Amino acid sequence: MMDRSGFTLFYEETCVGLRLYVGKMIGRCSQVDDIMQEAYLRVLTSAPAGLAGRQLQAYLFSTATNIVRDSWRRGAVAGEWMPLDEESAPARSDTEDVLTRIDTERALAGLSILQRSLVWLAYGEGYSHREIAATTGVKEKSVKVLLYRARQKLICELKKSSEPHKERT
Amino acid sequence: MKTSICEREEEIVAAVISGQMDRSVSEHIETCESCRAAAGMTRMFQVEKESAGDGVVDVRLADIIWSRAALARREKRKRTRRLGLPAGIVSGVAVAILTALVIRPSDAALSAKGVESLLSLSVPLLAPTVLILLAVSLVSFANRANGSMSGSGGRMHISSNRGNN
Repeated sequence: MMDRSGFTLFYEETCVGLRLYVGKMIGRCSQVDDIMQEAYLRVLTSAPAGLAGRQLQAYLFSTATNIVRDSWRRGAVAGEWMPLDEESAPARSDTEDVLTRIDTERALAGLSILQRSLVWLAYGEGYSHREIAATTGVKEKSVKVLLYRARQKLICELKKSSEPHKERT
Repeated sequence: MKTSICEREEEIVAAVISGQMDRSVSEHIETCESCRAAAGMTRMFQVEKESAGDGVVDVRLADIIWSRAALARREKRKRTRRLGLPAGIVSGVAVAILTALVIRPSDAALSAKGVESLLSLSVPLLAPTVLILLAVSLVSFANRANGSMSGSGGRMHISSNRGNN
């Protein structure tokens, strides 16, 4: 079992990433701290023995995902869980251009909770598709398709949010 | 229309995060629209992560969580101790009944050997019950001893400092 100093170190290493992840998923600051505390608490009391490093981090993120999902089921978190729509791919030339002028918060708000989770785990945390599947409870084969759709939708949302910026400049 | 991401995406994302972009990765990003989007998105999130990580991490929250976990573990041990003895008695009785059903003596055997036979039959019935009760008592005693040792730590302070953040 982890000792106190080990936990403090683990907390220091993971809290920024976890805060961003939970924040991206629920988009509400008031609940982020509660969900984070609950996730760390569950790691300390229920994590299988022998988990360390990246495995323990994956367990933490998986636990946080489950807490957010439970909160969403209770109605404490707003939004859709599963993506229900398929966005078409944006034109090639726009992609990089859009990503340089970003308003990620507003853009992510246009995605479902699971889509936000997928894009953050893939591109924010650099998780493999297998790790994403284990963390979110989605089948590994489905991760690729869902991630693709989530990414395309985020690019579309980024384009939308960059349009007023273009007009101003 | 393409409905999935490139096979090399994981490799590309890992390269962007680690900053180790070799020639093959760079060339692939040039030619693959999917991976170019993935690389752009990875850079975007990494910049965000870096700027969020500039703030000082409040380790007091880690202490609070650690204390809450210690309290939760202690409560769990208490619950286990409370449930231990009744559960042991119930399982002991259940084992005795099952044993009695399995080695049920015939009426003829009982009448032939009388009280002596009855006493010899009661040993296999009672032995499992006594053994289980003994095991439960030992586990309960060990838990209590362990709990009193680990519970001698400092007092817990359970409050959230969210308002200060």
